[in-house]
Amino acid sequence: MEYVVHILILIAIYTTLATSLDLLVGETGLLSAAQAAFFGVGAYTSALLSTRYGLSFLSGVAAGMALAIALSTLVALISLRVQEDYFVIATFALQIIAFSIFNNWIDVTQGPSGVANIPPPEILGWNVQASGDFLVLAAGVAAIAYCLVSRITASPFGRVLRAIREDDVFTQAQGKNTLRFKLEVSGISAGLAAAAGSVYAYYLTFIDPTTFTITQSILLISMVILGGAGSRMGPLVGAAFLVVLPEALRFVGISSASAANLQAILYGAALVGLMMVRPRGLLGRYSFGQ
Amino acid sequence: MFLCEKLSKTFEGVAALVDVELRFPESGVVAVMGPNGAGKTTLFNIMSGWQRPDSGRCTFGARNLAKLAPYQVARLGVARTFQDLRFIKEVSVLENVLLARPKQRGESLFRAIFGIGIADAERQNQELATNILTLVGLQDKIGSRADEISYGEQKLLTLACCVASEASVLLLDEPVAGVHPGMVRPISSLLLSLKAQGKLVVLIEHDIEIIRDLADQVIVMDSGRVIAVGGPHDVLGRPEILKAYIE
Repeated sequence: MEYVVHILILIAIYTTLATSLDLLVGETGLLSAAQAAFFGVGAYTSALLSTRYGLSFLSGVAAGMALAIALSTLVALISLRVQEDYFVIATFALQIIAFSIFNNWIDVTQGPSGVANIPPPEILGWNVQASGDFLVLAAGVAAIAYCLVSRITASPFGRVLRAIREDDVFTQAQGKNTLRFKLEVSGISAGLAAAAGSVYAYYLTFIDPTTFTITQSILLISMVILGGAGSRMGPLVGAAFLVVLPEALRFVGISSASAANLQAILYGAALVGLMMVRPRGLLGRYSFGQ
Repeated sequence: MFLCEKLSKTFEGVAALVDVELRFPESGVVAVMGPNGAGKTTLFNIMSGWQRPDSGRCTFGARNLAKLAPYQVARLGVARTFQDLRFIKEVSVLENVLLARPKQRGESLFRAIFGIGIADAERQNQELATNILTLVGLQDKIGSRADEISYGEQKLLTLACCVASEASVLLLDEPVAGVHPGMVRPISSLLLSLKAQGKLVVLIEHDIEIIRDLADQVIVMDSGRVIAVGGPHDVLGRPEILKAYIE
């Protein structure tokens, strides 16, 4: 039972991450390679503020989100003013830089040793200690992300995002400041990823840089594509599939060393197969990349 | 008042516009004609803020358009259509027109998240957009996907977006080119009704009959220069214009 709850918590955390990325990729058509970096910014900020300064969970979440939003705005402001393609390159660069900082700024992040002994969070008198409590917390954050993204996409703001996704020129010709929309949406996306990072750090009580690599960013993009870009339930389906897949491989008697390779092959095969059979993903409204 | 003063623009040494001087009326229909490469689209691009002139300037009211982004020019009240027929294909006809509505409350992120005052504004916008689509004759296509209606209807949709924007100046790039003959009349009627509302409609057009029927003023361009400006009967009656650009 404990194992099932653990899987469900991971699914909830990854659903938040995939939802945050889908707002950017699926709705706005901006491909970000730095979602794992924002995830890491949230995780490290919460972990360090908690272990070093004894700050509360909510303070850590707020600080992590603020830092992620600031970083994302900076990168988007620099890259999107020039050309949209540079956004992918700039986020890729941010991802590499963020990993280097997590891994090498030992005085602060403790480098490859990671940050350990993160205390259980207390949220307005609620001590989150048992796995069931963490499941409620992670699912609650995922639900907030879902509601937030649903409200945004159902509003005239969301209508502009979909227009930007398809034709930035036409959207500007309708009097819309598309740069402003892109900056705001990349900030929201980064903030949600950071919130997921905070929950992740508190849940595992230990974080190290290996969780926040470019591979993780690619995994999150895969979740969005698999579940279906621009679909509200797509991130949940994509996250559930790609979290459960490696666990399922364990049950078919494959060693963990082989499982890692097989997992990568299966990811690739699943994505290629899906793009051939259903380019919109399982629940998506748009073909990825259109 | 829309003014173009000494506008010049070159692309890799090729002159697209040379000392173009134009003073547009406050309202009416102005047709811009000329052969391919005459500079008509470059003129539109500068008038809508999409390109900067090398020298000279375009002003609308007191504003120098070269200092504004295209969305700021649109907000001043200058709407445009594109020759390659731009609109949002994967959404409904209604959503395209809703997108064009100016100053929407729900386009603020804060209001979008907290839903403050959006519902009423959205209802009003939907009513207005529906009325506009009825005006242009697309009332039966409101829920259709924009890429699933006919080419002529898509042209009407782009005009509906211009109307929905409440712009006072409409720059229309070949609004009837390539449409079914049956669609020409509704588009022409719409342009005349816009003129009757006091708007300035500037259109790039090659169809001589359309120009004769609609235009109050004709501008003829060639090789980046304005070679004739005047009433349609005056300009289109000149043998050299007819010979060079029409026949």
